[in-house]
Amino acid sequence: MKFFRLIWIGVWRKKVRTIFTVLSIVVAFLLFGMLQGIDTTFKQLVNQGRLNVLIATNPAGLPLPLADLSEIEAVPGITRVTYRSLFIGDYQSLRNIVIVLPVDSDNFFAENPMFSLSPAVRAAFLHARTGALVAQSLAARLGLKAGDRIPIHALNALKKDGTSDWAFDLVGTFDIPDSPIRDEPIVLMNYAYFDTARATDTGTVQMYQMMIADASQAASIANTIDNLFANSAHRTHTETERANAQGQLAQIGDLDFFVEAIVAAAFATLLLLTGSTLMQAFRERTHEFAVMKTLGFTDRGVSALVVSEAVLLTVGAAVLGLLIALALLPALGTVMARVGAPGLRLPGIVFAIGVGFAVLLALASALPAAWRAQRLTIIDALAVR
Amino acid sequence: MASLVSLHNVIKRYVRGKQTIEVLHQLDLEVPAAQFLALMGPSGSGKTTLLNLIGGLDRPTSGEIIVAGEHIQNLSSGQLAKWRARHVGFVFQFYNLMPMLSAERNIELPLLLTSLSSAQRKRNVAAALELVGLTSHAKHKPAELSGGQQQRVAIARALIADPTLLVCDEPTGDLDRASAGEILGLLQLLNRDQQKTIVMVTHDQKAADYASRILHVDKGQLIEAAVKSAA
Repeated sequence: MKFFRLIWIGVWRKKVRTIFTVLSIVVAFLLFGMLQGIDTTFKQLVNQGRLNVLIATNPAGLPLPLADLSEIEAVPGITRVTYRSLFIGDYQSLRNIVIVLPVDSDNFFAENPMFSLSPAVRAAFLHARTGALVAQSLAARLGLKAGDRIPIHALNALKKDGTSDWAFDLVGTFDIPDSPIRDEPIVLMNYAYFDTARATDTGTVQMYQMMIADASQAASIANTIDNLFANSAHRTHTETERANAQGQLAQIGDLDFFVEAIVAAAFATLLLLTGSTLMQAFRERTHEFAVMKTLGFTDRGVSALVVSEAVLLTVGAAVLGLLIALALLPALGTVMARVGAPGLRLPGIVFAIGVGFAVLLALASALPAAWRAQRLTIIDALAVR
Repeated sequence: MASLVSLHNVIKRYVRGKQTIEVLHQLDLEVPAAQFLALMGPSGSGKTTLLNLIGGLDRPTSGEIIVAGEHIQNLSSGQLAKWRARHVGFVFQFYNLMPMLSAERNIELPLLLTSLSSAQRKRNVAAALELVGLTSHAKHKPAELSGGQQQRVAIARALIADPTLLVCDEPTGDLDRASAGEILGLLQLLNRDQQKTIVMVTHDQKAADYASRILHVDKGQLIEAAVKSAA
């Protein structure tokens, strides 16, 4: 600790230069934190996809006939089947976008136990044809409560009466704890109400979701289902829930590659920047280091001071950048969740990896200066003024 | 009196390109403890080289240098650094203070290498500042001090770890006559009252007159010029 003041003063020797260097590092690690936070959230979403649950959709994105249900249920190895559709709408204004899932209320909750709600609410939903359940976060944001009549204007679900206005009786709320989609604006409605009231695609669903007894049989069961409808007008593409989530993520692009490429470019630039800054700082202080050696500081001691300054500068600024990312990500996630994106968080492990990167960056950028500080000869350095 | 500094057959050669220059030729020197020795000589005579060897800043090409009982030519770089911290205080012509540190922090610098507590370091620094008459300038940075005051800070820094030997390289070379007189008086006081052994390089005969012994370095050889009895 007694050397801390010396290190601190060394870091702030040229204030303007240090401030700009700190800002560069803060921005780079803010970028790292934000991108890694987004990437980790999406990975978490994929990893939460189950291997004993299959999803069947049409490869072209067309709806599937509900009439296929009995054939799917009959496939050996399948223990339960549920289905659902989807439309996007808004509540009162386009600022309040909602994702409405018409679900098979008999089986949906049994197959999706991550949806947490009380048995009474569940029973109420089951028996109310126009009943709806909304996510807790959405209810809190819009000030909705059980018993409210909520109108939702659909953006892609026309009704038989020629309007796109759907009215629901709110029977309660649900939560999806520990899930990145917890804050998404989801509304659950009864499929039966949806299907009888809609003007188009009657008798179809967007997807089937099948629970299977043995996850190791997922591929063969998926094949069996797809073969059943291979020659029909409504072919299926069946895969595990995890593969389905992975596929949806892949539609955005290779997120891993983008994140790694951007972070690598930012860090490489940062390495050059901090490395050259530290070398410049070293050259300016060659004489001072020689004096310190004269006073009894060892070669390694002076070298350690140079490295310590780099670590303090880099790690301090990196922690600042990561803390900003830590604060910004949930706020950004809340905003993004309103339009259906998963909630964003910066996991502790990403923070720790960021700090680790900062230490490595500091060591790598300080290496040339530290090496020269160690090799500095007093006589030669003092001779130059 | 026993020698604090002993040099036997010391040769120092420098290689500059293809040329080898012998700066010191089989030099012998004995400096008794508590002596104030002035080394004089023309530029390039080897007096600073000799001072650097005595202070452990450089190594001889051959020969033996014993300071405070230690054969310093045999010490590794790390050992030599620790030895310097323990035994030698340095005063330079251009003060060589840390520009970002206040006077008291500059003086404290050598104590960071000791196991003294913060409170002890503070006490020692206060005593050193008082010794050089700069108590009221403790918080001043070097740029806020005059040349003479900066050199006093440098002397306080050289003394703070209570070294056996004080090595001064042209300590008044950058000062006006009045400030130089004050600094030399201070060195003389340290030699006389605190029995500090001082080896000082100077061009200035008036500065050398403050020493108890004067040696001329000429073409790498020592010539005894004057030895005064203790004041």
